Parts: sequence; structure tokens; C-alpha cells
Amino acid sequence: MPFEAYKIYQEYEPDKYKTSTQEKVARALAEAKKEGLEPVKEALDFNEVRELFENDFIGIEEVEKFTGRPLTPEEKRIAEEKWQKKIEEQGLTKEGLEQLKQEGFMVVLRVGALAGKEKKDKEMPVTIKNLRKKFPLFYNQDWYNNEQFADEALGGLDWGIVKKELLDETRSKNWDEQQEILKTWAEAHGVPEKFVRRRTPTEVAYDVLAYFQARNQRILEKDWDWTSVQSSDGKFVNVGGFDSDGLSVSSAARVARSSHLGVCPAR
Amino acid sequence: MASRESLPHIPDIPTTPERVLAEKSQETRESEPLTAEQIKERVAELFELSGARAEAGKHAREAWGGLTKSEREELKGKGEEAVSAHLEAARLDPELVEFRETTLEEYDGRIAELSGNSQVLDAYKNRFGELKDTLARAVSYEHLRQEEDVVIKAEQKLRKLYEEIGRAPGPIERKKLIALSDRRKEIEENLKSFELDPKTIDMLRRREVRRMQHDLERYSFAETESRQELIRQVLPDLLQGAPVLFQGETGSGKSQLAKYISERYLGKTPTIVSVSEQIKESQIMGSRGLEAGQTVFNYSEFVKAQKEGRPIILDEVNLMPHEFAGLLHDLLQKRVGDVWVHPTTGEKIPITAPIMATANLKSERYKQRYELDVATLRRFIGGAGAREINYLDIGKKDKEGNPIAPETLKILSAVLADRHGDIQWSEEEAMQKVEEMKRFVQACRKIQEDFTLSVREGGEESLARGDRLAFKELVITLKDQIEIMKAWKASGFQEPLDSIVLREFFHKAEISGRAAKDRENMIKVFIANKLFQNTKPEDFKIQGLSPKAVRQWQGKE
Repeated sequence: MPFEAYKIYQEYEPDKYKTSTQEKVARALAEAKKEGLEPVKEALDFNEVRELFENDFIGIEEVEKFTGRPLTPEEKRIAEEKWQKKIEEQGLTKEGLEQLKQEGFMVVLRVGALAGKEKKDKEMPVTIKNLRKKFPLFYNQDWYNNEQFADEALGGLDWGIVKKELLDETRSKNWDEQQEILKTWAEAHGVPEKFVRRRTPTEVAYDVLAYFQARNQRILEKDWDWTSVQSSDGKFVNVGGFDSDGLSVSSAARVARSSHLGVCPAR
Repeated sequence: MASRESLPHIPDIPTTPERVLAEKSQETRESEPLTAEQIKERVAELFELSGARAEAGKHAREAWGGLTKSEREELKGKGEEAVSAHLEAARLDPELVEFRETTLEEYDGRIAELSGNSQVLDAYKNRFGELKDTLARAVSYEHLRQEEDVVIKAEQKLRKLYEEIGRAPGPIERKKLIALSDRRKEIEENLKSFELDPKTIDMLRRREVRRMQHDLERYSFAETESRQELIRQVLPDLLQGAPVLFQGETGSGKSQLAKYISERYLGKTPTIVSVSEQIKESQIMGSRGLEAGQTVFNYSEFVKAQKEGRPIILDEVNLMPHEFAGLLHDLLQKRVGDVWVHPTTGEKIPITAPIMATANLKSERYKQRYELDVATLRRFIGGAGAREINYLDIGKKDKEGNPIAPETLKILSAVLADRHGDIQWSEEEAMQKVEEMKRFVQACRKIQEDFTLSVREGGEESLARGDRLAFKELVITLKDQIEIMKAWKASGFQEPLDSIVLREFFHKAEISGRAAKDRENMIKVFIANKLFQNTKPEDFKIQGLSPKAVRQWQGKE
């Protein structure tokens, strides 16, 4: 998909063209203001989501601290745009988000780059290896040094709404059975299947470490999130066991089952 | 909402795939059913091919020296000798002709292959139909906007006329003014009720990009909002034949603006007179000569333009010695309908077009230049005005006070885009590329700002305050930025932007150590904007540039 050239500058012309709905909203707001009424805001902007999710909201400030690099105004704008896109696409409402919070979900902003370990070091893409380089929080393992997944970078700036711990129904199920459970879960939550997925190993590592850095709390301390990515031997990679020994990366054949191996649904 | 009946008619001509199929006398076939995904992919390819085919067709026609497809077929029908004779006579390159011709054939081949499937062709036609509807809405909206503009201008012009002649409009004129005002209100109402949906907005924005591309190709100028506003202000006076003066820094686009106004709004190719300190009276008024033993008076290009009713651009008029400036005074006071009498021949020349002049602002940098004398300046001020043309976006800030460059970005985006308004970046890489581009534009803006201050205030001492840097000779203009963007696009965006800047600007501006300090300061600005983070100091090729300093700016020492 090519990129629309006008997107580079349209933020500077917010009033140039407005859809009929935007026009109506603007007129209604102007009218309300004239009448001295305070407009009721759409309940899904960052601040409200932050209030709703409290400590389980890892937003711009937290991510800036975690990655060590401030977000540019352009990135902030994109973050906002992506959030709006996500809630529109998935039809998320305030009530829906409240329910997710109750079910143990968190909201996390993922970005594509980390500051280097030292100030003089270059920025680097977010991969398992680079996270390991920057944070001494990984379990001492070398089996995945030459694995492709360890070099796979996050796809750029986006939001994740993800269950912090395993969905209980997915424990002690093999990989394919878990897939079916995810479908059922999507249906029960009234969300199209395509929006409920497993995370990649890089996403799990990023989310766990970002949460730890921001809240000083460990998630997936005793469990492993089984990802959608295969290692070179065809097994599916899982990430978790984030106890004091550090975050561990492992893999298991798709027929395997374990009470500590499940899925954290991600939207 | 604009009803369907009121939308402009877009003719129902066959689509490109239909035309190609007809030319090949090929019919669509029912083949094994395709999945929705397959149809979508093929339709997308068909759209891309159909768009590019128009260009390929144009190239083929050019390669054949302007022959249309049917003319080419006719020529080929006469045999190889006739073809060779045509190519030779028109000095055409046979290799290029063959390449263009076969490329076009390949386009047609693939288009026919895809659209031969009736499912694909039907889906293409449906999509095309939707686009046509969107286009009709976009065009309709643009028409309303244009009409609004025309009515506002007409109203302003008439009111101005009465202000100038100092009398109140009579009953008939008042009626006309009221009619204009009513029409304006009506259009405003229509615009308010016009329902813009996201697809139409997308189309309107793409058409804006395309218009900018057209203007850049045709006039080497792009009419952004600030320039449009300026044109709106000076145009009524220019149409009356009043002179205008554009003053500003080098590379701010003064001459280009004058040329653009002349060609686009006055509809005439201007005569450009480059003024220098050595200019002679004969270059302005003309000179005597001998022709077949008779003394004749040969008019200068300047006078010829007056006679032919073409606008004149006096480029760098401030270089004109004061004693000659007086020659222009009488002329600068004339307006359309007046008659100017040539001081030597006594010929009466009716005035039909204005004089536009450009001047670099008097500055420390241009010490050798004359300042425009007050009498001349006054004549411009009494005309369409003496206007200052700054670099685009200078001084613009967002709500938080951060410098922004929306108009520059708009122009550069049009340069990077293809004819559909798309830039060939994937979604994943787009964010990083936009960021890179914005940092580049930010750096250029900083250089332009500091250059403006340097040439106006002079002396490095006065620039020591703040983070301003002194630029004495070199600045990076919009034209330079456009060239850099073109090179980036030509590289398929494979090369990092900073290596393009290095090649297209720094290495090209490498003139035996001249302006070395300016180039060094530029590097500093670019590095501060996170470009050239890993460029080796020697790669800049700047005499006397300290490697240590560069590494410090890069944060490596």
C-alpha cells in the first residue's frame, strides 16, 4: 500500500475539509458553547483510557522512559491516530474497555525504536536481542542467538490491548486447541476473529519489560505466553517465566500441553 | 447534499481495459471463478497498469515525433522504408522508438490478459464507476469554491473602484453589487450543506497534490496559501496596469512569482530584463541605428514588450543606477487605458500590461548594491505595492510554539508523489521517512532563518546571541530542496536522505573552499536535526572542517 502524500501535511490544515459528520459535530459544539453548555467529550481519549486502566495503561510518558527516547510530535500524532483507528475498527466503547480492564487487560503503546544503551550509542530497532542488550533482565540463555525471531523488529508504532496473564481456558491445551479457544473468546466478546490474536515473541518481551519498568511489577512470572512465531525447528516460541532469574524464551511443539503454557489474547 | 442531477457530467467513455480489448478485438471470457481476494488483487493491478499506460502512450507518441497510434499504424503499413525515412527526417532514435513501442505493447498485453476475465473487468468497471461518482462530487465542490472566489474578487474589485474614484455607486451599480453579494451568500449556503464524505476528501486532497505537480512542471512554481493570498492582494491592481515590486532574499522566489503571475493570471509570457549596474539607457529605451542608409530607431526589448502588451519583469531593479531610474518614473504612473509617449520617437504607446520588479533587500551582504531611490519606491507603493517576499514558512509556529513548515512540506510532498498523489512508501517505513523528511525541512528552515538574519543584520558579532549561526553567502533554497527530493525519489527511496543531501547539495556546492564556513554551519544545523549522524567528517569535502568538531556535534566525542 503506498502512502498518501497529503498525509505529510494535512495535520496543519485541520479545518480545510471536514466530513459532514465533523461539520455537524463542530456546529453542535459551537451551538452548545454559545448556550453556555459544556460539551460532553467522547469518552475514549487517552486521558480517560488512562483513568480507566490506571496502572495498566502504558502510554507515551511510560514508553518514553522505558525506551529512553522521547517521541517526536509526529509520532505522538500517529499514536493518537492509531488509537482512534483501533477503537473505530474494533468498535470499542467505554463499556467494552471497562470490561476488558475487569478481565485483566492492559493497554500498551508499542514503538519501533529504543535508545542505545549508552547516550552515544545509536537508536536501535525493538528486537529480542536489542531488548536483551539494553535491559539486563533476561534469563541467561543462548539457544536463540541465531534464531530469526530474535532479530525480528516490532512493526512500528501501534497500540496493544492485551491480557496481562494467561487466559485460564488456554492452559493445558495444545497450540491448535488454543486457536479454537481464541475464536470462541472473540465471539463471546463480540469482536471479529481477525482482531483477536497471539502476540509475537518481541511483543511479549516488550510488553512485559515495559510494564516492569513503568510499574515495578512482574507479569507472566510463572507462566509462558505461547506466540504465533515458530523457531527454526518448527516449534512455537513462548516467552515468560519472568521471575528474579529473568525473562525466559523457550519453544514447544504444537502438540505440547502444560498448565503454565497458554495464551494472553491480544487485540 | 449536492443532488446527483447537479453534479457535473463526467462523460461515459470506455475504460482503458475496454479500449484495449476493443483494439485487440478480444472479448472477455468466463473462466474458472476467482476468489474475492484474487479479484481485488487483479483489479488493483489493472488500475496501476491503466494509469501508467497513459504515460507509456505519451512516451511512445513523443518517441515517434508526435505520431498518434493510428498514424503510426498507417506509416508502418507503408513499409519499412517509409518508417526509416520518417525516423531519419525527424531525427528520431530508432532504439528508443522500439523500446517505447514494445513497452506500450507489453502494457496492452497485460491489461488485455487481466481484463479478459469477465469477473475482473466487471469489478474494475464497478470500482471505476464509484471513482467517477466521487470525482463528480469533488469537482462539484471545487466549482463552488472557485465560484465563491470569483464572486468575492468581483465584489472587492467593484467596491475598490468606487473607493478610488471617491463617489458612491449609483442605483444600477448598487443593484449589481447587491446581486453579487446575494450570490456570494447563496454559494456559502451551498458549501455549508455540501456533504463531504471521507472518499471525496481523499479525492480533493489528491487533486490538490496533482495541481501542485502541474504548476511545478509548467511554471516551476507552486501556489501555496501564503503566495495565493499575496496574489489575491496584488492582482486587481496589476490588472489595471499598476506596477509591483517584490523584495526579498536570494532564492525566495521573487522572480518566479512574477513570472507565474504573468503567465497564469495575466495570460502572457513576460519580457524579463535583467538589470545590472552597467545597464545603459539604450537597453531601456532603445537606440539609433542605420538601416539601408537611413537612420532608424530600434526599440529595446523593454519598449517592444510595452507595445505588444506583455508584462515586463525588471529583475534586480535595485541595481539600476539612480540616474536611469528616472526614465521609468513616468511609465510607472501609467495604467491600462493611458498612453505613454516614447521620449525619443514620440510614438504613443497604449498601456495594456504592468511592470513587475524584483529587488534584493539592501543588506550587509549586498553592500555594493544601490538602494532603490525613494521616488521610484513611491511609485511602486502607489501601484500594487512594494511587497516583501520571505522564504516560505519563516516564523510559523504550532500552538506549542514549535517551528513548523506546512507550505514547504506541501510542495515537497507533491514532488515525492506519483501522479495519483501516492508516495511509494510502505506503511511500515512511511513513519520513519516522514520523520526524516520533516527533520530535513526543519534544518533547511533554520538555515534560511539564520541566513535572513545574517544578511539583514550583518556582522557575525550581532549574531552571537542565541543559537543563531552566521550565513554570509550560501543558503539552501526551496529549489535546492525540490532537487534533493527529486533525487531521493529517483533513488526509489533506497538511499538515506542525508546521503542524497550530501551528494546533491554539499558536493555540488563545493567550489574551491568558497563559503566553507557557511557549509560548515549548515552541517552543524543538519546534525542538530539528527541527519548525518554517522557521516565521516572527510565525506563532507569542506576545506578546513575540523573532524573533531564534527564528531562532537555527532555526540561521539
